[in-house]
Amino acid sequence: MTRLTIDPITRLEGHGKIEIFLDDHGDVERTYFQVPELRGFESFCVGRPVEEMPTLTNRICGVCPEAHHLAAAKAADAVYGVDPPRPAKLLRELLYCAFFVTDHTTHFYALGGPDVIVGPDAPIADRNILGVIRKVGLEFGSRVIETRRGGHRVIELIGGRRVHPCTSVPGGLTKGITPDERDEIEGIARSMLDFAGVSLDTFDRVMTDGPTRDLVLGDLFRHETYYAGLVDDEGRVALYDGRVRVVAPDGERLGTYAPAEYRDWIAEHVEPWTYLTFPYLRQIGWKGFVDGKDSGVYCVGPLGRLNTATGMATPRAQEAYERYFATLAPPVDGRRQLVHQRGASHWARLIEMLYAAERMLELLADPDITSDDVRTVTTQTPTEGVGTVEAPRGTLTHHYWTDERGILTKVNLIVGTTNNHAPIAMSIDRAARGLIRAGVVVDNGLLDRIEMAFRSYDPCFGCATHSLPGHMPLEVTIRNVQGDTIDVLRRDD
Amino acid sequence: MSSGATTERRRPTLVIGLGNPILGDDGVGWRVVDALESRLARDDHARRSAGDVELDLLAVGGLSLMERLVGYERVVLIDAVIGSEPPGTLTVGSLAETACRLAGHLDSAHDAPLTEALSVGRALGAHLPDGITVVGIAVRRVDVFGERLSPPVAAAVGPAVDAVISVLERRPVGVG
Repeated sequence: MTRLTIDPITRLEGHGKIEIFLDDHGDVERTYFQVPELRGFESFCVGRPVEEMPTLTNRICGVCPEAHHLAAAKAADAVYGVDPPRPAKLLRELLYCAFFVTDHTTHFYALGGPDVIVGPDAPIADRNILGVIRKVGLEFGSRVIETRRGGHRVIELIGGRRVHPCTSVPGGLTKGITPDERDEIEGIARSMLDFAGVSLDTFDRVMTDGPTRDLVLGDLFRHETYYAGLVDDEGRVALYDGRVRVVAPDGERLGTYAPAEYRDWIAEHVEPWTYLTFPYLRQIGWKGFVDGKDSGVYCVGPLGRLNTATGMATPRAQEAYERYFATLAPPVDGRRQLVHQRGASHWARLIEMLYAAERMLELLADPDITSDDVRTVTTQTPTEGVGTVEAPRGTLTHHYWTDERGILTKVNLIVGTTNNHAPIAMSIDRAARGLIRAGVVVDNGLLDRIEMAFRSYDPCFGCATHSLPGHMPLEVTIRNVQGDTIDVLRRDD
Repeated sequence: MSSGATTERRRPTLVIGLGNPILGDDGVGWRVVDALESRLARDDHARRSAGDVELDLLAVGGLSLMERLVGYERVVLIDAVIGSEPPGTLTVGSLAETACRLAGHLDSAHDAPLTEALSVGRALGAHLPDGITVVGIAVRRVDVFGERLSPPVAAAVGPAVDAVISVLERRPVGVG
């Protein structure tokens, strides 16, 4: 076999290495994606009181501390067998929706957006947030920053701190919000809703551009896998709380389970070449890195959530959801089809942004939102508990075990990106196969497409591997049948 | 940001410890800022030398870090540096000189590197400091969870505080 390595994946967390082995004909035999893993998180947690977890786990990574904070708080609720009062749940969800708008805004305009808005064929030097601002205008650029600032303000008002919230505790929250704070958040939510609408209009405009359309709709990034995500009682997308629904590539429903039952549904496959595990559906089984109904590979995140659910719980998002499916996966013989194009994640993300902003306004209109009844006192002996939320990049599960004093004895986390490991590896392989053919010169175009495949998943290996916040250097090494390096690709080469 | 930032009162100096406080030596920037805070509280001379200064601890990079810098005349960042120097070695330089050698905290792979984020902020009319100085502390490993610093890195905390105070004494500092 021949071997190939890509470095760096820009705009991503951690450090990554891709090895591509070629066969006798110079075609791709197999690709391997590796990221290094940080060690010792579980032993770091064991021996600590479980109520520290909401503030401790949000230090795992600087990208989605809010998701870890709330998954940890929900797991701690479960450990103590305590149900937070309704106002606390509303406030946690409000904080979470503000975080979703903020995080999706950042991804769309700074990370994934450059590929879509500036265009996948634009020079790499223009495909960054500055290029996006040049394309959409300064005023629009200011609104990106304003939306982020608004989101951080809401997180500060409810979560007690910007970025790393600290108010969620077992049984609820340490504080509520005042009517004045409610009004301030409403102003921010209105502005976010408007911005989400404008962002969807922008997406419509760029989709008329050929290369962008190909990126979103093209087969290069299409995988027919299972999908999973939280849904509410009516089967609609849920971000803060719900049951996990799993659907097959043909749209058939495999089942819906309570988050605490995750181990009956999800198993983890181990490969000898990486520390990462590859979760798959236990019921279907691990058949390798392959598409199809017989393969237990599943995908989470915006694409997974929209495929899994049967709609959105707010009116404008529902309208956008219907248009998304009508455009990308129209029904066949009256049967609902799923969206398998990974590039469509960018669109799905904007629909979720619209939903989260609309949902904020619904929550703010609830009279309970300014109630002081935000914490149920814990009385039960702590044991074990699972907490699950939808992180922007996929289903996030925290599972804790404690002794009778509430001291942690075991910890297990399955983060959003971990769920997507197999699909990410498959997309990298697909991009490599599509772009390396016998006699075809491998150049930075390959690096680019592989990075785009990657970014559509919005992966954060910061927590998936407990790796550092920072740039993700990626190196692609291509090796021949003998295993000798024939090319090494790096950004900036 | 443009409107909000420009109407904001300009504040003098911000000192930020960067890193992850639960990742061993990666959190050295936080320890230096903690030690600086105690020094300023008990040492009048150090307080006079440092002048009007605000302290913060952060585990974010990119746009979030840039947003935190809005409105300040100058900024000192304290961060772990991964390189060939022995652990505990101090380096002081402008952002441009040191950015690429830091433990990656200036960048957020989820959005943009700090230098790019600063360009975005400036393009949008935010008042951002010209002078960004980086005090770096060489570390070897940042991949194991823990709250303790390794001995050579712990020994560098005191000298790093001195280095920050001497940077603060020099006004104005070099252009970032």
